[in-house]
Amino acid sequence: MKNYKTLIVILLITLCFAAGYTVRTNAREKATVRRVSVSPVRAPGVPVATTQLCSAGDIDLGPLEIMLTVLRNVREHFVDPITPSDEGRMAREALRAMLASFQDPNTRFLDPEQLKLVREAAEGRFHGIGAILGMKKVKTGNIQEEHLVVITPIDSGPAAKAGLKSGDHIIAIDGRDVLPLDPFQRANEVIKEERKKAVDRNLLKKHIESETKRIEEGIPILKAERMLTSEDDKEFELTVLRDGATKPIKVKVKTQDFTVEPVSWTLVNDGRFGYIRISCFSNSTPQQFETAVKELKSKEVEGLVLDLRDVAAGDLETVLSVARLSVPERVFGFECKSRNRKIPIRIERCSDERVWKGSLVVLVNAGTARMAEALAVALRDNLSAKLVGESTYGDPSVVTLMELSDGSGVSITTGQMAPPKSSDYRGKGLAPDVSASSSEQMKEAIKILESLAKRSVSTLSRN
Amino acid sequence: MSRLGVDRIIPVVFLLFAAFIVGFLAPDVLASRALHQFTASLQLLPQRLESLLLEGQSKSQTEPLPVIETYSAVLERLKAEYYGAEIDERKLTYSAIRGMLSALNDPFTRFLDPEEYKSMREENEGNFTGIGAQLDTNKDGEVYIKEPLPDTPAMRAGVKANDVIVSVDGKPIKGLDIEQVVKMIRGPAGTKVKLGLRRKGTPKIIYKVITRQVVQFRMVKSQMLDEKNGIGYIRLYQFNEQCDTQFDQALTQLEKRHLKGLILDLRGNPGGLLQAAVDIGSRFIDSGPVVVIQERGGQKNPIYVKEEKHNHKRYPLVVLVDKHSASASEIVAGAIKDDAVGTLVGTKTFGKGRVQTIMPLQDGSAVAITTAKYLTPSGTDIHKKGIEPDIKVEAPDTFEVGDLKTDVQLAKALQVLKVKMGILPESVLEELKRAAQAKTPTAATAAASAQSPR
Repeated sequence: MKNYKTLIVILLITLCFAAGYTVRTNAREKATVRRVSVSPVRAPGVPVATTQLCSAGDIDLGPLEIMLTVLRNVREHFVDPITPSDEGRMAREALRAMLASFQDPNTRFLDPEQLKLVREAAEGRFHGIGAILGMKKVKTGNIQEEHLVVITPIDSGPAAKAGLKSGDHIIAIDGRDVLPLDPFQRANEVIKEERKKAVDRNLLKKHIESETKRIEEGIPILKAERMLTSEDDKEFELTVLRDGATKPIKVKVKTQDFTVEPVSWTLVNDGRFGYIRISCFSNSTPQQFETAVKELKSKEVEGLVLDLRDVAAGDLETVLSVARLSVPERVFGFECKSRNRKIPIRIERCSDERVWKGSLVVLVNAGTARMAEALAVALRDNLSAKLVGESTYGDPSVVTLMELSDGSGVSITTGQMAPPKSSDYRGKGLAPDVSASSSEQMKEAIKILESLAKRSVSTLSRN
Repeated sequence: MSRLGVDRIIPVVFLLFAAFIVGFLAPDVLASRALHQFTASLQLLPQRLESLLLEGQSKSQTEPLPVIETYSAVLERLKAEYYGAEIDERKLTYSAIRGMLSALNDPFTRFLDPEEYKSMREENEGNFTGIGAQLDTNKDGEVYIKEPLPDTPAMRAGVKANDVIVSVDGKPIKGLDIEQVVKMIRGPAGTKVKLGLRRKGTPKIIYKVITRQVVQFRMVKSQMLDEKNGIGYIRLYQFNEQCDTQFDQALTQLEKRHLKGLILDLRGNPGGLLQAAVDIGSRFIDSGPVVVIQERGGQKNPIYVKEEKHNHKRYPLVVLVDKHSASASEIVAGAIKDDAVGTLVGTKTFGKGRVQTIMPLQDGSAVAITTAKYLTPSGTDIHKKGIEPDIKVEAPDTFEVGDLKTDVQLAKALQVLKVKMGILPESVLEELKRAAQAKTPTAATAAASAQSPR
């Protein structure tokens, strides 16, 4: 009886010790991560740099000290007293301006709504016109302006239905110009040019007035992006510049919230070959892809067409889980990081019966972007899979998200993927092995698979 | 179970609590190598337990971000991980400060980098070191001397208007911006600069070595508009430390030529120093406040007329204003209108009723912070509203300021002043007012003027 009681007490003491330990470690973690937490959207195998919060004493002097002095002066002297919510806004705007000065489309501040969009895209849910949009720098003469471009219209989304294509430049929304980050460049250029030439003041004034009007009525590019991806029900008339078209095209698009089925598959060519379409890399893509491969293997198809056209969203982790099912235990690529670090990214092993081992053709186009490009090139370099279609988008950036405590976030370019063997494709895009226009791509892919199948048959018969 | 009395429970509970605390401290013990670290964590124990309790309560709402902590965390992360161009911490932080201030929704609270602050100081002091010549670009894109200012090194060295600058210190300047050329010519007082000049009618390039000096801006331009009736005209370009002295001199000059009525031109005047506005305003107001400063917190501090500025006679007065007359100009115009010591002619003023304080920072940059509001003597806040003129006269599309033939506003101001002086009948005034009402305001205003109001 006595022993029994002592045992209980000792047990309780141990429990309390454990409880204390966990509470403390949890609290410690929170203290460092509470305000700036690193989101799970990041590359595996890379150590997470926990960002320690700085107490006032630790803050690096220099520029930061200047900022602190400015903040203190504003707190003490600004004509209207500063509220905590003012300070929250100040923090956001400081980050927004600082990150914008990088002039890097992937390094930017994300408002809570925008961060939500990124998160939902990982679940296959999309809003607005249903397109992955991006900024592309376009240089004309001395002016370098950012254009709002359609990287990828998402399958079954309003943009795809309305006929928007990857690579389209959206230059106006409802007749209002989409303005670059610095909208005054053009006006300044006009003034400069006019000053050099004959000074016709009236003409100059007219130029400036029309430019002022354009800027006043226009929509800043970041706002335009928000408009086109927001959850409100709206209809927009977009003015679009397209390669090959002489005049801007007008397209009417209604916004809509929708969910994309990430993977679909079918048999082609009388069941000889399989076709798998990946519409987006969401959390359920690897699992669905595996099922598709399994089904096709059970149907004993001789070759596989993997359709990666118009796929942009997705993170490295998901793409690696897909790659695993065709090229396990190989090098997916190299992640080039700051300070000249180059880290090989290995694909995990995978049991034999789950892996696709037959011949493979990958369909790509200008909408094959970011991680989809990385996958395409990894398949080519490791498996000599043929790429059929058009040059890809050409953005190998690795982007890391930081989530801030108020629901907003920061996205930062933290690296660049380098293919295992192929050369760097930043800006240029991956050149396909066989170029084909969109209507011919499937036909070309089948042709390649057929010739591959024939070859394997002939090698068999020779043996 | 009845034997489980209080005397037994207390030690057990105590033991349990001790175990919890030991567990709580264990991570620190494991992490720390030295004894003092452990004692430090012992001392922090109460705070840590407290913050643990507090956190449970305030978890629901998302706190606003702490400015400096968030910024430095993101900056540290960028420094460690950003892939791309080298990070210039100073440049980034300057952008961040600008962004931070933009959140206050007050365009006048702004950051000035060292270069901007320096040129602002020069403007406010009303002098700079250089050679004292106004430069411009001609239609071939060449930089030329528009006007060597009187009593300056440029003038003394024999630089003439319309000389085209071809080289500075032996370096050809072809293709350079006017700003770049100005930068090359400017420098510390006492140093020399060699200009290569091309002059019409002279085949060879003329070289002039000029010693840089402190040169004063001319803030005041004055002339006798109507010698017969003694009508003088004074234009004030900006309110800086020099302008009251220069105004005093100009008025004395005009008085020598039998001044009887005065036109004060504040068009295009973006303002400047509050003190200068009070000085100039005092010259027109008899008594009472020139302006009322409403401090943070609402306290009102009137700034009264400076009696020592009453060293001239009072004359019938017309003040010209337009939409670029801002800040200090509006203090003067507002006081004159409120006290009815003059008539305002022109268009509505800019509407800036906020006072900024410039605070210099450690690294040569500065921050201008809106620290107070100002009200006109009668207590009106003109911010974002502007001051309506007594007689509205729109400016034509193109005109030359001070030229009676093209400057319609000045011509009308002259008529108004003549009525006030009794030279023209009252009916002229009525007619002017009617004309202003009949005319729908045309939007044709000089957008090209890039003056930023201060």
